Amino acid sequence: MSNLIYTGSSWNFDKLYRMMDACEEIAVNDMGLDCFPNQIEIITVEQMLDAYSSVGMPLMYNHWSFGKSFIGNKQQYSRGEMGLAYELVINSNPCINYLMEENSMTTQSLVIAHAAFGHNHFFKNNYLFKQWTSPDAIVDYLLFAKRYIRECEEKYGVEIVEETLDACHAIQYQSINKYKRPNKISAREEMEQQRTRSEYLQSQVNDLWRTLPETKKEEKKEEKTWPSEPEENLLYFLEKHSPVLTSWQREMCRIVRRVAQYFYPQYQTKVMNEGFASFTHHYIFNKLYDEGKVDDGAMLEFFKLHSSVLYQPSFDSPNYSGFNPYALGFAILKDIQRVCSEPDEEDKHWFPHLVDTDWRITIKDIVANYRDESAILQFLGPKVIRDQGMFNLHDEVHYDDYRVTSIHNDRGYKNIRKSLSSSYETAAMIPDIQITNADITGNRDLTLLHESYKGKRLDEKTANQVLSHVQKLWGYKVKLYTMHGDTLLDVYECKQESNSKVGSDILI
Amino acid sequence: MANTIIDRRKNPGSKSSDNRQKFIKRTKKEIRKSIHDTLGKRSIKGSGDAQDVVINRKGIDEPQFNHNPQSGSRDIVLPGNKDFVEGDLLQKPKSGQGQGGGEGEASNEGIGEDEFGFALSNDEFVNILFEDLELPHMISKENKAVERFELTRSGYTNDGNPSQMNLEKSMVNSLGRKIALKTPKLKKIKELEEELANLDKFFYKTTKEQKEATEEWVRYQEIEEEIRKLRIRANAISFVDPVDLRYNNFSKKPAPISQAVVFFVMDVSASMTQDHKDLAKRFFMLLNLFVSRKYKRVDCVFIRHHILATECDEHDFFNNKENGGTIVSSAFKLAKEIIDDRYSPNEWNLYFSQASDGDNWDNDNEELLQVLSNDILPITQYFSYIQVGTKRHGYYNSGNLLQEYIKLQANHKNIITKHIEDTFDIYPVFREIFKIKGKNE
Repeated sequence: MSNLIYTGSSWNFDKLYRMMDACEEIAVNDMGLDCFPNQIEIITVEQMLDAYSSVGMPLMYNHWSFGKSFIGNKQQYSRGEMGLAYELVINSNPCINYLMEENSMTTQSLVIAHAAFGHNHFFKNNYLFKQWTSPDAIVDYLLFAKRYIRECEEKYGVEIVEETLDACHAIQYQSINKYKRPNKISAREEMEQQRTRSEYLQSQVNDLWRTLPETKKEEKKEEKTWPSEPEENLLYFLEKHSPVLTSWQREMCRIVRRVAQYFYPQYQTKVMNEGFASFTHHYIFNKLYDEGKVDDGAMLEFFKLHSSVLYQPSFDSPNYSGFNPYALGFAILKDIQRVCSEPDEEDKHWFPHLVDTDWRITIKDIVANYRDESAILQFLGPKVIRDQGMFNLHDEVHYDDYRVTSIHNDRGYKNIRKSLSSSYETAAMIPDIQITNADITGNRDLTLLHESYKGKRLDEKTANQVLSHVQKLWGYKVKLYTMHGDTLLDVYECKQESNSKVGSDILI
Repeated sequence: MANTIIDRRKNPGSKSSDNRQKFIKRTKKEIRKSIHDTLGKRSIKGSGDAQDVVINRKGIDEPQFNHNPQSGSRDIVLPGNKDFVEGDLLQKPKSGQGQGGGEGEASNEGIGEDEFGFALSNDEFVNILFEDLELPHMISKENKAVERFELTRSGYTNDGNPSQMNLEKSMVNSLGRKIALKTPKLKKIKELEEELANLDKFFYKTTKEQKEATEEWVRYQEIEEEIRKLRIRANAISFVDPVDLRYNNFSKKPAPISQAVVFFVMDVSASMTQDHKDLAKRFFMLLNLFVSRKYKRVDCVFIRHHILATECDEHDFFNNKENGGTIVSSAFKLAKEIIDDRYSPNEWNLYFSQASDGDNWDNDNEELLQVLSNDILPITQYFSYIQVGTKRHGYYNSGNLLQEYIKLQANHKNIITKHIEDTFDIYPVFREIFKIKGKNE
């Protein structure tokens, strides 16, 4: 009697259920993973394109920019310039996995192991996701946002809603609380809060200034800057303090920043998340093969898929576009597994605390408690650096040459590790911009500070465009300083007339 | 852990169509410019195909704060070292062409980085092409006061007139609800009852004590209990509940009672060169597309003329070749006959669109003006005259019909004259002629 879960390349629901059960058996009982319940959804190409353009979410409020990306993706896909992912997984409870209908049975199996157990465990256990996202509420929240924005379009007009969203989108990546955790509330509470909040805010706007006692005004003058602490969350600040926004526009700021916040853990854990999911599918599939549950043909197809997903081109290849997060994460975790179970002399020197530990526990600990930056700094070992032939280039803008500062040798390992790790810092990817001063008692100028990362400056054209968006939300003049340490690098000032607000034309 | 697999393939697709329409609306100006740029180059008659448009990215930017890659110092870790050692210098690529990790977007063939190319469906294309255009001065003929409505089907509603109940929809809902509530199946009850009846036969002739001693008696009681429970459940769940009911919905749509006829008049005489005919035909194709797409109840009459005028069908109008001299008045005399015969001005809005190189037999001009100002213009809503051909040194190298028509404008406000030199003029001129008054471009 054959043990095989399936034969042949076409899938059906029966096979999928059996595969789910087999994967779950290994994931839970062998690897000890802890996952949300899974909801697998089979979708078509068209639906996958839809999901792509709503940033991977099952639903999203309407905005022209999603239409733009839909049209762009569709065009590229139909010309054969872009392949679509085999799956898309959403950090929700239950965990929603989209599987494409044209996948072969082996692809579906790999994807189930990869997403439904690998990513799922990561979502449920990684500290960033635990702290920053509420998987129970996200789908409901998006439903609320979609409805709210549609109502606003009906009540106040499509143009002004779009313009507000455009402006909010421009600063969404600077509208994330990096240290203060948001509290989790459900969608219904959210809706009730929104109602009371908007009523309250509106009732405050007019009276706030009139009712201020004279004496307090004088006290205010002593305070040189306000807010007293720099505010890292631009949209939060504008939502609460902008003198020109109406209550529904404030709610829009809130929606955009909450969605941005939801995605914050994702781009900090790309390498570890994909690495762990790949590690999981690799482990599960080999186990299935060992147990005689998949045949040789399936295993060959699996290896072909696995190696194409984990392909890492060299720096001089025309296909090179940075490190492949799947490959890097997988290599690191695989190496750690080896260090735990079959350590050599070098490992004892590098990872004395990991040697001879249970790799299952060690890897789960890494998954739970690290993000890309810290995981690379802690766990990128010399073997991976050697295997991949990593080397470090130093680039100084005013030099004509790059200098090779480290290669894969004893002198270089630590340097490479540190340098690679710091390239995954959020500040290296997203400019760090904060609000330092809002002159609300004077001319109402708003001052932003860009703390330069390693002397990096902003791209001038986009910086000016974004500033004009900020100005629309603030309503008065907005300035932006780029500081590197104590050195002032750039000053941007919006050339737009003051007191222009949302509703006036875009200045480019 | 409860894992589920759901087949979503049957879900209604095109979730993105709202966003797509928003995008198209936002870029309409750019799209129109793109259409204008390409209109001269291709046949506009091609239908059903998607229309490629290329628009400027300006206006659809989504700016973010970005790092300028040409600033600051950086350390880059790269994979795939072959023979570098510490201290090696590598020349930077010239002209800021970012090597590795570059964010340059893959540009489509022939499309610049500042441009965004995509395909419009034919309907979207035509809608944008003819937006804000109309046949001017159209009025409801005959009974102006009476507005007529047509009832059209429009989906289903939750309540309505019993005679409009949609049985199929309602029963599907009823069935769905019963399945969801796990209503016991009648078949199941029937089976149990049969079993009970069999047992009854079995107990026939046994005494009460004997009966109660058998194993079958236990089963008998179980079945009775189960039937009782099932019946209670079945009775509690109604067969058809008010929430299941769906009614056909009808909505009133105003029925247009204005009707119109457009006369296409084209000069096909020998003086019309191939270029002239091409321009005229392109203009008429656009007009034909416009009329057929925008108006349901508009007739078209095609008239071609040289010294004789003939009425023909659409295909002949655009395709047949003819030659000869030119007597323009013949066309309008024929038109007048057709009007008298089929299109009473009391019932019809009349529109004329004429294209010619401006040549006419000299002796005919007077008669032409007579026919136009006496017979045609007084009963016409709107008369457009297009003169095709190049202008040289301020003079038309073709005939002088344009000047004659301009004379007519003194007494007749409903005539408009335009000049088309090459294919790129066609669309702007067309928009000018049929622009809805009071709307700015």
